[in-house]
Amino acid sequence: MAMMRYAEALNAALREEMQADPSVFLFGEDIGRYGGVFKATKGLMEEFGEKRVRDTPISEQALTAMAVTAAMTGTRPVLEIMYADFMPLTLDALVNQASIYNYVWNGQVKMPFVLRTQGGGGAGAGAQHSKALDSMVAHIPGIKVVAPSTPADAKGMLKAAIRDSQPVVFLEHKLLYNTRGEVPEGDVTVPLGKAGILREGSDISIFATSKMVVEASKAADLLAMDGVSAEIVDLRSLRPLDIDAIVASIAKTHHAVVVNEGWRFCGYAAELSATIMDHAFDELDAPVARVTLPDMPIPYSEPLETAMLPSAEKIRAAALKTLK
Amino acid sequence: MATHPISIDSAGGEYMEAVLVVAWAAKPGDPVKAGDLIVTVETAKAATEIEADRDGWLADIFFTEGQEAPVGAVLGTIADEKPAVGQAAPVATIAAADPLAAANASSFVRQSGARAIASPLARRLAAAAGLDLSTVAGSGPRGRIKKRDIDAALAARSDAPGGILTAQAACPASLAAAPATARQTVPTLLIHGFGADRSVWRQVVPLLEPGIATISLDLPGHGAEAARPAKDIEEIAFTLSDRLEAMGVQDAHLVGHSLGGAAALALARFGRLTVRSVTLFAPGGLGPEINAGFIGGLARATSVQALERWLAVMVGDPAALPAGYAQAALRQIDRTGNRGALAAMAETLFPDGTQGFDLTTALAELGVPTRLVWGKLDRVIPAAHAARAPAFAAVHLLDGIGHVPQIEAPALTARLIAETVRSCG
Repeated sequence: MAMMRYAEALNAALREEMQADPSVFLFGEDIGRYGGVFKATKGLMEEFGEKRVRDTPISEQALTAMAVTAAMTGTRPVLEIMYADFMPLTLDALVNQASIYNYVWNGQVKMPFVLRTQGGGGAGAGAQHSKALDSMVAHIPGIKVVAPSTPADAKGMLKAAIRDSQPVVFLEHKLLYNTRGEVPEGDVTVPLGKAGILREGSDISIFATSKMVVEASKAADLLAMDGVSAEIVDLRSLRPLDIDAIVASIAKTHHAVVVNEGWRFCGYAAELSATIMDHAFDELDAPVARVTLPDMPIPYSEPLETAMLPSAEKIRAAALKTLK
Repeated sequence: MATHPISIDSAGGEYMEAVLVVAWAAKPGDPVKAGDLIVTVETAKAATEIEADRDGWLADIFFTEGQEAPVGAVLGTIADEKPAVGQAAPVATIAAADPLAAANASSFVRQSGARAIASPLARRLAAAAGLDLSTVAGSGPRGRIKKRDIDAALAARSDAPGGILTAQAACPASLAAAPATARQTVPTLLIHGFGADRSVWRQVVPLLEPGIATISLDLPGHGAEAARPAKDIEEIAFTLSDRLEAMGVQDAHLVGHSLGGAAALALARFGRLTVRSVTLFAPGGLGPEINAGFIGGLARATSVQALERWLAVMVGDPAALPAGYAQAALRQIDRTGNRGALAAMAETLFPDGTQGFDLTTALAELGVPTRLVWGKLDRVIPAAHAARAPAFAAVHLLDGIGHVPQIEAPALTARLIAETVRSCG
């Protein structure tokens, strides 16, 4: 085990996979000379050269189409989209190419690329650079979507994503890059499609994604002072979803709060809520509560942004209400 | 001025969450004597008369005629002294000064619907334990019944000797592994007939001896299952079997009336359930004859007058029908919206005015204590069908009784069910 920052864990995963497989290459805006705005690719251009670590112009649509064709022709590209807010520019390539080619060409085409990006609020980055658009990509069949919340998962899941033969959208969070945690050394992968139980509890299950897992853990500390034992389930794989883990947790606690930093309407939390009712209706002792971003643009003003974002205190309040 | 509540808890039907106030026999300020009729309410499908339990004066009316009141609510009060003129609480205000009434005002809000508000988990646990949700007070938001309320109700039940389900209440904490409760006491399944619902047994259930645990289910297309009609007797048996399995019931005593009697036999023939005994009241499936006019009339009636005339055919003595029965039955049909389901089921179950299923073999193959009960004045299915009972079955022919012994002779019905259940140990 080594203590690492989340960004360093990503960097280690990229380095190890590039060392192990010459078909892995990186491209994106400012990832080479500058090392990436969040430093996830720091030092990699120096180590692997300009062919395998490419700086590109700002053109997300073209970059994603390039990832699709590169993957089809036998390489394993890792594309970085600097802000998840610009994911809509990548959608045509995802919806009409990456996600369907394996299907329409009868399995003859593999699509092993990773699209790394980061979203989320709390950094005063304003309405155009703070969004969590998880549900927009998780909606597409044929694409895997993961969002690790710890440095260990960041490394293990990025390695697994690069080796996967399907397109994987890898969602990071700007406020997670500097978080620290123990990371297993060596070639350790974390399988995609499995949830993580971050903390066991008996009264209520809190299902959270990405940075909301951190907020949920803080909420669990607050709830412990209220005499409530909360179980924190890290839905680090948004799609495929680990339904068994969700059902097992609810069968234990009979109460559920789902937390996602995206908008509420048609959001990922809505999908979780419906999935829980599909699979665990008879285990529920109260309606599933959702904690999400309100359906509004994110303000630049710090107090307003803070008021809007889902937080530990809001999760605690939702949990207590659910337990009434 | 001391006042005493007039309430409906004892008169409430087994499955009722609410009653309808039909008529007050006195006005606030009127003197009343112990034993006087004071208010008539409608429960399930019968009008129930509530008598004054003491001498005094009618002081308050909290639920006026036409209002629904939850079972257990205080409908009004009797005062020991004559209330001053004008002091009587204005009619129809629930938020009276009386704290008891005020407490009931909130329960009125939460229970006034026809359906108990309960979490899915509470519903499942209650079903597995044979607990009637309408008897459980909900402590969650909007009065929702939660798991903790079921746990409390089951704990209370195990504390109350003489309760109908005492034998089952041993381990409420282990209910997550629900089937265990059903195994401890083999439950008695009550299956109603065409056009009725499970509340048809409400007069019988309280008369059963302690230790007999009952489960009454609505047939497909009836009551709470109005939206899911069935097309033949096998589908009915299949549906019942599925629901019993979901409740963790693996063996049961079967009691069926009319179409429910046929369903009981089909369920026994189906073989998924271990049947302990069978008690049949005017069962279907033992011959081709059926009063098609009655079936059609029952399914089609949209007015109280029309339904009343058909219901009179159902009983030996029309006076045996409680006052307001037709009205309540019609309201129930309107509420569940199952008129279409009834018409469709009448068509497929009784094509050409004939019973479309034959269960004489199923009856003859039963290897358990079996009892057939028929009213000699039955004008829906002829009592002559009782002659097709196999030699091992006991046959009871009831003088002066029509098609519905459970309504016409509830005490005898309860006794015959209890004797069958007891006869197999």
